[in-house]
Amino acid sequence: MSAELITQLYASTALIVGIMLAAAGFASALGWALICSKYLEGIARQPEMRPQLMVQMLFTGGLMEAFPFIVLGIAMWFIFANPFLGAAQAAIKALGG
Amino acid sequence: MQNSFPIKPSAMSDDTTSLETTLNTGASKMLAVQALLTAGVGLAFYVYQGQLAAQAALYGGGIVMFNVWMTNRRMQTAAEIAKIAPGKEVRIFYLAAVLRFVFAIGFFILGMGWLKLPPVPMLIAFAVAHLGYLFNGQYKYVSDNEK
Repeated sequence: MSAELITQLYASTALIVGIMLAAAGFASALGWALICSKYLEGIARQPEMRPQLMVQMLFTGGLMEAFPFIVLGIAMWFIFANPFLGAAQAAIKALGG
Repeated sequence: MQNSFPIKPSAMSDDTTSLETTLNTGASKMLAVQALLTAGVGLAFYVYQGQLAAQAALYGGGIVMFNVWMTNRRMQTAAEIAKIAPGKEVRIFYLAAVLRFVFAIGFFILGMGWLKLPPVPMLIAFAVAHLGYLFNGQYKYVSDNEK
């Protein structure tokens, strides 16, 4: 496996990781914005429910953030234990390279 | 005006329930569920892939549990601050959100980069443990007929 191919694989992975993290960050921000706006609407309607709504908002936010966190985990996997490198090596070996 | 709010929190029957107590109860329940889910995934990986995969699964679930515990601590602090200076607690919320990301990244780097744990069991346990958020059990649905 040539150094050029390895460099290409790492560069492509880095690019993909960047796109993944950007999308996850955008989605997370959008999710928080929606949750917080509904929380404020809820307080405006029923101010006495503020503590309960806050707790529910935090737990719902945590659930929503699970997806960006999973994406973050996958991104870390691609960075620290790149699976494509091994797959490429196996493919080259299978081709007799 | 008729109350049209369709979701009735189970804790609402007791108006004296404080925010801290509600947070603590929810977080404890969630941590217990996450511990069970993590143990289940760890056991499954132990049976099918061996000890290292099980260790990675437990590590992945542990990251989520640590984050929940840490966030709960921050929220408790925020609730205390809100009593003294309302509005200032937002800083703690931001700090909690930032710390969650920092610790999650840090633990992933530690697990995958330094400890060389297998990433797939870690990620699967991480994803499954997040389902614990669904089981915080704070709210029950009350239909219009029941009101």
